[in-house]
Amino acid sequence: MKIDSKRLGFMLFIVVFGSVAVSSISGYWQTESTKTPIAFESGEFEGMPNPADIRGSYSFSDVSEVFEIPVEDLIEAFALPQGTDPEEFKNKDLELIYGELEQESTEIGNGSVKLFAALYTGLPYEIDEVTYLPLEAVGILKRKADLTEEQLLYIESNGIDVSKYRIEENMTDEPEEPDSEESKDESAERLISGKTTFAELIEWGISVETIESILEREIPDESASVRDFCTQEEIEFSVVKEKLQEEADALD
Amino acid sequence: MKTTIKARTYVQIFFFLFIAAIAVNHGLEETGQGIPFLSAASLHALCPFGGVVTIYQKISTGLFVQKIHESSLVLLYSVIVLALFFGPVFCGWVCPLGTLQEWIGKLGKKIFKRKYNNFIPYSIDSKLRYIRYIVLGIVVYMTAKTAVLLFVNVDPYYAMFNFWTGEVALPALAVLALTMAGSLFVERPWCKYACPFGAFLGIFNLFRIFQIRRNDSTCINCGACGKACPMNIRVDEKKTIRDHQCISCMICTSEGVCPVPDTVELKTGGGRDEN
Repeated sequence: MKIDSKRLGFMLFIVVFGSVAVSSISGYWQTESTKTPIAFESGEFEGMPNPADIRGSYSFSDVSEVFEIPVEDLIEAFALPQGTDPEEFKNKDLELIYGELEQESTEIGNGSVKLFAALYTGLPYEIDEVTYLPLEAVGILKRKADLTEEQLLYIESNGIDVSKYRIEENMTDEPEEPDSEESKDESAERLISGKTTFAELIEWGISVETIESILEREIPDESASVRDFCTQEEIEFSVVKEKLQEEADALD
Repeated sequence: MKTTIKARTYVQIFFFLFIAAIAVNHGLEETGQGIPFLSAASLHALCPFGGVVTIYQKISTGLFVQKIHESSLVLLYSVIVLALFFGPVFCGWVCPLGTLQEWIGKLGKKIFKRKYNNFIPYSIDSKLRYIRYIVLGIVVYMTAKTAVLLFVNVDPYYAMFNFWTGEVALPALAVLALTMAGSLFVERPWCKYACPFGAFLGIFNLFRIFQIRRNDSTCINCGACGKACPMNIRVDEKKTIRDHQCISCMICTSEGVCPVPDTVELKTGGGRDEN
């Protein structure tokens, strides 16, 4: 039996799109997280949600709903402002807010939420790499969770004072000050954060020469973020940021 | 002599544009301007290789690797079904990165003529082809160990459809650039030497149901099939192609460059009488 190219092309479409259609109809086709972690399939915790499956795209409300952790505790644990909208704030946003921690080779992010949820609820969770928590989260867990000595020791030795590392301008849910002056709006937009790119700095009006003199290096790619560049070149981001911010402020 | 298979060209163009449109729509949707009726899934969700790297994690813990979803497994299963019957038809007909390399290769052919795709001596080249199995092993092992999609940091396919987003790691952009530059000299360099998914699908060439078969009794030994093979397989020296590099492009067949009807065909066979 032989097959020609037209039939092969036809078969290809049938198999690929047929699989998609069948799996869609059966409800298996998922291209994004369902915001419901998978459940433990056996043992003492059968049917309970598995903290290991918490995704960065989950909002604090999703975590709160599934693991029955009050959103107030989540907001306090991760040292966020009281006005933070738990529907909008996603676990992955923590990496933006605490981006400066990268320079200390630590991270507060989705892994921290997984650990916090697991310890808070007493659900099993295997830590496969060192995971850090804000001191606020450590405090809540000590007050409210039933921790073993080993767990207590772990969170105490991996608690971080995050106030020193917070990138305030990435805390998008902070209540905004009313501001009617356009110039002030523009100035507020010129805050250098972990996501600011060289292209943005140039667009604001900071010259390439000025940026390169601060970096003491040439800009390799204008689309790169300043923080990524600093990390790559092993330059202290906070120092560079401060100097660039002075230049940005001087533009007003 | 036909050097292209029309049906394949149309399928390649369709999938290239389809995936590109979805990638753009994914970005648009994040800004609230998504195109209705078109999927806005992430490329990770639509890559069947995601299914390969997540299998260990799925079996051992029931979880998916970060950024991978059920859709990757569905696509992987469909590609495996196709591979069981027709070999790595995904590589030769669907993969947009393979298509891009072919398009750049057309320019390389114009520049280097017969020298194109023949720069590396066969004895060295045939050994380099196994590097992709090392890549496959490393990627699967590292993903199983970390449960993180580390391959994305060097993945030229992801870079190709996301280079404008600022989300692509520099090494991935460098690999994409290297692949594109290499395509001017060698046909499908990424597929031949480095693609872990191609390595996985290549294994199906050893036992696929429909094989490229050359009829020795009608063959005029012109060697056109071997010369035209983008993967440098010596089709003219074999009766049945079980080479792990075959991508089922059908260029070597009597629908393509073979001048004799019904001589090189994609067909089921009668036993292992070949080579």
